[in-house]
Amino acid sequence: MSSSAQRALRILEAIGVADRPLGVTELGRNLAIPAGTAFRSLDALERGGLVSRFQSSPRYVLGPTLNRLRHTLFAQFPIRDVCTPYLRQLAFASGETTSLTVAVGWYGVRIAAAPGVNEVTSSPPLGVAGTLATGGACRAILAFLADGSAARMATWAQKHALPIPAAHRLEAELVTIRQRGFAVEAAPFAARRASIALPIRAGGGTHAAIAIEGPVLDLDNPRYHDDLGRWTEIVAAIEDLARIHPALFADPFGHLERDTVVFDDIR
Amino acid sequence: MANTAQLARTAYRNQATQRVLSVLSAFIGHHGARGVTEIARALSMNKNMAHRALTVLTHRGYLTRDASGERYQLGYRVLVLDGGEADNFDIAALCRPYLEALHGLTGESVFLSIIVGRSRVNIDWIEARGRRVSNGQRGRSVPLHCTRMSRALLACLSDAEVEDYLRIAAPLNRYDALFPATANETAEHVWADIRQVRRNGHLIWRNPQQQYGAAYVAFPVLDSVHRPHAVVTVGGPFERFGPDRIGALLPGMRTLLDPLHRQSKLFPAPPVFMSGTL
Repeated sequence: MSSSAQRALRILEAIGVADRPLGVTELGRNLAIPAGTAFRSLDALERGGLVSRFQSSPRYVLGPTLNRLRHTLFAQFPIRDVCTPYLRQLAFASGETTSLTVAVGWYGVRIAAAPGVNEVTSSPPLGVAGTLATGGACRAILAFLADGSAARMATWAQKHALPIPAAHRLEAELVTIRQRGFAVEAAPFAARRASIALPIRAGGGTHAAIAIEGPVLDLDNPRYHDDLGRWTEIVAAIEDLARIHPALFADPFGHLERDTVVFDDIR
Repeated sequence: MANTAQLARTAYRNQATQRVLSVLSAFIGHHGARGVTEIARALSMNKNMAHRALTVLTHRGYLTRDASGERYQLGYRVLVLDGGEADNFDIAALCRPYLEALHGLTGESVFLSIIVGRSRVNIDWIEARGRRVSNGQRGRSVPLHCTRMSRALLACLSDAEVEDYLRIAAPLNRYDALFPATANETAEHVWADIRQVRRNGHLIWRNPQQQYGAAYVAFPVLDSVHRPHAVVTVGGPFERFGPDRIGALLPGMRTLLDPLHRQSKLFPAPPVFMSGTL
């Protein structure tokens, strides 16, 4: 196995999850690689278009080839194209950014979004959101997976030292989500307000959820909102499509054992 | 001498890295899985080299085996790397400057609508000042045969899709109370509007039911294979936005929208499904 290629891929991952451009010295120090070796790896990555210099500085960000790879992978989730018009309808109806999250292993991955039209909206990037115990959309999916899924996920998380809530607390919340039909998540910037995530259920299970990411609900009375019925109807229309065209909702990683999917840099 | 040997080793290692990275890049634009032989042939490398590169990439999660276990597909690792570029093509963001420019040119209300399921939904608009035409609730669904604005979108579907839609939507008068502008109209009226859109590239109409009447002109926005992204509509009170003024403004509106038509061809329109609930 090529250790130089492994090293280059580790550098690519470090740049890919960093929240700012990284330089050779910092990369070498973080990954315990000599600066000269890191530079040669970066040179190979830069030639391949996988990284590029940030504004002609000696610091690096991901390059255009990586974006093309991401677009190719996103295109393998046909659910993304199917849901895009519905996300736009929900974004315009609610004013808030809406998103589509799918399950990949025991993680939730935000693969599409439609920006809201309100003056202030949030718009986190696409990509891995966290384990299925994290956030409204992920929990909306977890709640409607097969019986025993939460316990299986807890065992897997423990094996990989990933933090998840206590089993009794998580299960109680999943029961509430199943009863209510949707998940809520307290909004960080609006007191006693919450966002909503609705699972897309079809074929006796779910591997996706649609979230309205703004503080649209009253956290204490989440069932009471004039538009809740309309939002539910829009997601029901997607579920109708899933029943009629199951191939459009195929999961490109559905053949993998959930336990084998591990993002070692997502906690 | 030692330096020469060291340089040679470094060059070899970099070649190996380049090979692995080129194998990864070979998956760009391939929506299906790829096999070792196919990759080796595409990159002019031997099968052993290709196999070693595939093994490295699979080990790190950049590739995974497909369901058959024999071929390779892009792996979930790629999802975690954020390239910082916009991942979503957003028709609303693309069209917004053109809505503003049309509003600036005409002074009238401008609407952007898309197909959602078997309905038209307005996802953006700019309202004119003074007396203006209004267009219902945000995000409201309007069946594709009801209102001429909807028919401007319906016209962009194939004949078979339109036939399917009209069959599923029958009886066509079930929403007449909600959409009086096209009440009591038959499939032949729908087809007449569709033919006008296809012939002219736009649809002009008047709604006499609205107080004092209102007139509209709608322009479909298409992708490179003529599938519908959206329709842009300009509408105003009849006394201000009548046939003469629409006729006078039409060349300017078309010129203004030309760059939008060029840009919209760069992105595929979302799929349209005639099945599902109306």
